[in-house]
Amino acid sequence: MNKETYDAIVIGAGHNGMALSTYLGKSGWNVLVLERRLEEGGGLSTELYTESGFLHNLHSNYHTFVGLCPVYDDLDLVAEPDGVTYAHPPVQMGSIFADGTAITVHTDMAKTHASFSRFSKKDADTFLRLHKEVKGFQDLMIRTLMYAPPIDVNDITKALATWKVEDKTEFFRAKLRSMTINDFLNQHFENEKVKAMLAFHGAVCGYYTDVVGLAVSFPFMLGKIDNWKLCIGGSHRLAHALWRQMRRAGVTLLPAAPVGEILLEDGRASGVRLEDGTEFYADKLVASSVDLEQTFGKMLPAGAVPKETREEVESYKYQDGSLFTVHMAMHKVPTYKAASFDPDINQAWVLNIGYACLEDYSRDWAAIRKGEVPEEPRLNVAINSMFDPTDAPEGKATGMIRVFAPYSVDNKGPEVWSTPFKDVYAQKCVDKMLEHCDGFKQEDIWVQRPYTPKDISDKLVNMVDGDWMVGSISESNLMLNRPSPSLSQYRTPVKDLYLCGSTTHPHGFITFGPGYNALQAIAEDFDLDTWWVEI
Amino acid sequence: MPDIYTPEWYEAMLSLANSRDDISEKVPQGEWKIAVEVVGDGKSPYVPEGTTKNYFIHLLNGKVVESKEYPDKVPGKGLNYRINGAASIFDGIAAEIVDPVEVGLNGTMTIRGDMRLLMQHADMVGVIFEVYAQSGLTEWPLGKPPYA
Repeated sequence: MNKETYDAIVIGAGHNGMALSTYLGKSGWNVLVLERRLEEGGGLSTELYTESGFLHNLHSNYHTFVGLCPVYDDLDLVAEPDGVTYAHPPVQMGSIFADGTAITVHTDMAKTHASFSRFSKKDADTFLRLHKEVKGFQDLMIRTLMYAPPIDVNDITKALATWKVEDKTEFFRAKLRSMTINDFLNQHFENEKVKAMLAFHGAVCGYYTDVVGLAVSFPFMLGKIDNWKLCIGGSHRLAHALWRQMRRAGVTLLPAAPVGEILLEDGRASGVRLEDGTEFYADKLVASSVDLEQTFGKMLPAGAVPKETREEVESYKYQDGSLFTVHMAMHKVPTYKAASFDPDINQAWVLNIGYACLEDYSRDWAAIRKGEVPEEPRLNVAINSMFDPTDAPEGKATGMIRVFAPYSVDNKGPEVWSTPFKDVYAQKCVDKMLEHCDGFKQEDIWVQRPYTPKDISDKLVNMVDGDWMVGSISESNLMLNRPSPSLSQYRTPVKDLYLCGSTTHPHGFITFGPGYNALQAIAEDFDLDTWWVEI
Repeated sequence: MPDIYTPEWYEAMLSLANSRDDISEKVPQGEWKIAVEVVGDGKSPYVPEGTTKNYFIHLLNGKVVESKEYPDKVPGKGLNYRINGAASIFDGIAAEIVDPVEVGLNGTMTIRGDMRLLMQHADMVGVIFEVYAQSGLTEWPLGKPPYA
């Protein structure tokens, strides 16, 4: 039987596991990463899903932390000669409304202001003040609140009170902790379409607009509304860049190596046993980037963790809804009727088609919570080929339509997504888009292929119930509460077993936060030289 | 007090900080290394435009044990915080006409480092700036803010 010993073993080669292992490898550790699937990357998944030559991002598409997250620089992920290249679309996003009007959000905030002004000059001014205010402390707060193990929210609130921050800012208020994003938008903005546009930004980031407490994060999110970037060649290129850095750091990656059990010796995590019986040993630690149930329920023997931890794991909540996507191979890029109102809408990367007011979001969230597929699909459309000519054959285009959808349909289970229903719903989504297109017809779509909430979980078991955020986004599951107070510092009750995946703070999405923050805990426990910290 | 930004002024400032028991009590125990970058912005007459005064401050268990001016940027390795701002902003804080929290919030003064600790010791921040803002004791030979 194969028995190899490493300093550290990381379970799961998603972006968090890959980043953590690279940092540890660069610190001189001998690291093994074990991945269940045939390839690395997790949510950084790009496939020729419709036709040969058309690259589709099946999971992560929007990378909004490039330039804000320290991992990109620390691990040279965007550096020459072989880092990834990002496109930064000048028209970041837009909304198309049924009356033929449209709003656009630009990297140039003056243009955003001009677009918003057509609906409400007051809202345009408010947005600009909000954006400017948040930009002032965005870097500081993101590094503190996302790229550091979490602290008690009460400590933060107390500090802000001590520093009299509320007297010095217009939008930063302690009471945001008891408000929804809807509340925040209603308080500061007057025009429904402007509100719908801003809410869309939060919704696509996984922040449901009617969840109490999320208003506290919303201003920060709006501060990066102009930082949506597209990985050229597909999101999986970022996994390639990580993999190259792993190799340079001497990290060993084994794909198709599902872990069956975490081995314990004298109460500490001492290694793993694969499902095929192969054992690997770890002198220093085992870090799991997979979900809580796999880690604590399947890989650890019963009784390895206290009853309270088991209960916390069992009560862990996932997002209410998932995503249903229609991937399209197209003969050309769509254009829209609303371009007669705002020509820039044809250049927008991420499009909201259907959410015209906050009530539209609330209706969808309510339907999804009941397990209902929204009767009238409201779309999130992205045509990546407009900014990445490498993702489709010359003269063709790759695109996708996404809608929020339940994992279990009408409480009949996710299997409903395996029936022809998915094609019927996909056509409904396409029809909705075509309603708003100008000269772009069904025959311009060469192939359309749905990717369902069930597909999400089938491909990435970590994303339980199709939850691409790997845990609910709510006050009870953020900061010190994620995934639970006792597990929030990336350590577990099992000595030398750490968590480094998206169940931990901050959350899913390509933030790298969980892996980076687990590294800080590990560095502290093992007295590592923190070479990556350059103030 | 001596002229602002002279070695004697910093020495006096740090002696003042070390003499304050409330600072020693509020500063977290352990070792803290801070770089302060005062950037000439054409408004302050004390730091020529295009130049930067680089200071390094080393605290141990609540007391300043070392402080010195660096000819170049203080290396980032091993630092806990780096504070960067225009000279006129630092002058304004010393003259008590600029609120340090406000300029931190609007990005005019940038602070890099782990803010969690500052949040958990929020009182300390106020006391440190209180010491810095000894305008009555600082000499302003080239004029005092607000500058015209």
